[in-house]
Amino acid sequence: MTGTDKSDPRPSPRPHDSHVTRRFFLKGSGATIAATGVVVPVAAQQATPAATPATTERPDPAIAIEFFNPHESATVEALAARILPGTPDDPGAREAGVVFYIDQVLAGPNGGYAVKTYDQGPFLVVREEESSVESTSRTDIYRVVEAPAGDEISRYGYQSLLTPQDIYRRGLKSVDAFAQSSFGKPFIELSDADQDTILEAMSADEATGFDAPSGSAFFTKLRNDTIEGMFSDPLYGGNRDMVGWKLIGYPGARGFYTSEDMANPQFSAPPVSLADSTGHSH
Amino acid sequence: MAQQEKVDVVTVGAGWTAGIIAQQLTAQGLKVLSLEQGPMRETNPDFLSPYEHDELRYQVRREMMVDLNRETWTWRPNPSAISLPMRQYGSFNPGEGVGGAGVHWAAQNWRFYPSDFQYRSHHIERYGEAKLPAGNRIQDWPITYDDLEPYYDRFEYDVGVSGKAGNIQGEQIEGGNVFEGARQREYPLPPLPTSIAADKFTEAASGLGYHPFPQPAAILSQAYTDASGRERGACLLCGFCTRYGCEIDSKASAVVMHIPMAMETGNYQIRTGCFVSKINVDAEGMATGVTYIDATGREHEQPADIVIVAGYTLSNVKLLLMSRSGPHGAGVGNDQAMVGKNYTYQLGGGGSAGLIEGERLNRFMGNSCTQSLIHDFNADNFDHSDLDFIGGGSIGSGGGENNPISSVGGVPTGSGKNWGQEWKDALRQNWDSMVNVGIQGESLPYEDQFLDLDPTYTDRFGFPLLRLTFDWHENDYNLVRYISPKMREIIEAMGATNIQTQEELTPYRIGPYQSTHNTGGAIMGTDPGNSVVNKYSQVWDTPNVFVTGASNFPQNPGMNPTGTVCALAYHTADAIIKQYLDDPGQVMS
Repeated sequence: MTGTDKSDPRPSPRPHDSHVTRRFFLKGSGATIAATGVVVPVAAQQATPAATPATTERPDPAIAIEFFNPHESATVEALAARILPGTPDDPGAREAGVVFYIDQVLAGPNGGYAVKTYDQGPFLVVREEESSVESTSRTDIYRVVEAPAGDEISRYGYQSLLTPQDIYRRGLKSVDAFAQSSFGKPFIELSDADQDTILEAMSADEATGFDAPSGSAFFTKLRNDTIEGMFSDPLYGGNRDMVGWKLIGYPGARGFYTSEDMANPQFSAPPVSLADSTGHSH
Repeated sequence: MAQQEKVDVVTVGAGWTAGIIAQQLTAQGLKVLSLEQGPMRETNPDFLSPYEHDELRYQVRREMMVDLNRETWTWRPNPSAISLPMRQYGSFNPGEGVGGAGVHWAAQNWRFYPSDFQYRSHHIERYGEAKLPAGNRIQDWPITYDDLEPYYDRFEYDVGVSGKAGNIQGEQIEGGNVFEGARQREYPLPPLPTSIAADKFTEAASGLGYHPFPQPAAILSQAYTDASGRERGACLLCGFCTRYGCEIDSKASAVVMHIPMAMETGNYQIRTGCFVSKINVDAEGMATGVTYIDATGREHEQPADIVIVAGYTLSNVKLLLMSRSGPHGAGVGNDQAMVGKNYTYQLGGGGSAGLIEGERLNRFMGNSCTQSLIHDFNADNFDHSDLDFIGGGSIGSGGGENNPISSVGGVPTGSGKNWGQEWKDALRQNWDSMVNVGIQGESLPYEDQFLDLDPTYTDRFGFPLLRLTFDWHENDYNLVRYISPKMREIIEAMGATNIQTQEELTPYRIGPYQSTHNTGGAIMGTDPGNSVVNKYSQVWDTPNVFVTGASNFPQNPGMNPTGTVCALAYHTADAIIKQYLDDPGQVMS
């Protein structure tokens, strides 16, 4: 996928190579915006072989994994466990089963989009130099529109051509490639401290080798999805035993509170899930 | 094209204004049909507890909002920039389905100020014309507060609004909003209970010499018998309100009272899954009905004597612009190129957030209306003589319904690192100790701020998307610069620490959610040269078409629009019954 991937026999793309798409994600918005040249089909971009061993054990073999391969699922679990660390006594994202939540979302229809998304082209591409776009304009989605320069494009929000499935597949490869180039091992084999170093670099957008999504955009996506998996109802596959809600003191899907409850700083109640709420229970 | 049986009145959409007008007109024996693009929604079974207490589905994934893959909106900051579609939910959340956005609104229910209706003349009289910002399209409404007061009152008493009056027949009342226009009587219900954070705000604001009051809410603080004769129960403070339906009908919406009343007459029907693509007109330019596409893609022609365009602001403008024909070559209502003008929004910059350390605030309970506010810096309630802007906004704090997924991300840490053990410890310690002081500010109309059809992007049926051209202007930046320190002062007085303040407004971005108060585009005015509709929301150039809702606002005040939207709908229904039907097809005066 990138120049850091030694198993890729192809020449490394240069930053301004007009024949290679370099889409990047905008900080905080999750938006894919720019390329430095011709848009190429996503399928062609994904042909790069994985740089990591496939010796990984899946998290919790008793639960179906529908989208990730075993190595990907173990990597996502490890990433989420650094965002919200835990132990059996003080559960975090791993103990909450966040990876199962994310896997279920991605296994859904339509590329893993869990939110309503307008997916008609043309998609936004920044051209930093003149190049022949028309040659790849076979279908509507490969038509491009010129984007304003610099930070202006970040004002337009999410503009990605990549699906959430693409984002994870590509982002996880970049994480491993970056881990490999930084510490000589795939992410899941690193110590907690080295894993944190990787995430620090991603969140600061200083991690090398990330193409699309960018390191910071993939970090933001992982963090958002970890939050969803930690704090959504357990029926969605994460937040096991409501550990996320217990962590923050949130009573969950309760039916009502009284005005006395609302005024009481000592109020406390164990959480209830949609699965065990009777609606108007208190 | 399938030909449908003619009705007296067809409404485009089945939300607040369609529901109110249908209820009023069906009671007079008129046959009314609503064509709604979204699904049917009824309290039972659609909003049943506990199933609806699901943040992921309703809050995060926008269950009740328009399916963006069918219809979205493009945006550009100025007329020379490119426009791109809002591909995922960001700045605003238009709803769909029976009841419209009214089903999942926050129910903050306001009356605009008398000066809001005479915005241009008021400001010129007090400060001179030079005070108005460059390039503005500010104009007076063709209706006054006094004209609308009986309709505000009617809506508030019909559905049951909770609040504390600050001005009854000219007498100011402490504890209510002392700046408000005179109301004929007290609210039908006392205010909702306020939250711990709201009480801290009230105390802090009082201490600073301001005039705090509880949020007026179209949510019942006590059991109330509404205009249908049904007794509805008080709010359960459940914490699932904005973006959710109400499982006990405590929060008012068209599906709670108006639509059931209209149905009861036998004169009303709703067809869901029907997208209206055009208002049809005859050779003289009068409307003959509408064309719509049903859920299976079949096209239908629906004849009607009166067409009421009663969708969301953005849908209304799009439909008018798409309704091009010989007599109205630029679209219905657009003979004088006024459709799309005066698009305005809601200013939200300059707020502060912090922590009340060591104290739990129960902010997951309640709703957005369990807050307290001041209007000391709203509208022209403060002297702008020495200020470099006009207008202001509501400042408030203490709204509840803090669902975790949408709020944990904002918990601050000492180092600023928002992940890892430190962040996890901060979540445990401080998630329910977060407070903020925020603003809903005015938005003014400008020449370079408008709605039109996008030349590139299309909806699922191939019709153009509506394009928004919008950005903040100097007046907005100056307003935020002035009000931001005032909000900071209040949150400090509330005892907050770790305070973060937005001191400067940043250019508009469509990515982050801001407000679903998109207004203007089919504004009301005094003559066809300055507006699309008259004070009855009747289209000047096609008088058997009415356009309702916040698309009528010439500019947007510093408060939520719905109270005024509903009062105007009663006003329109009244005019149709008392005037229009006596002399159909004529512009009412």
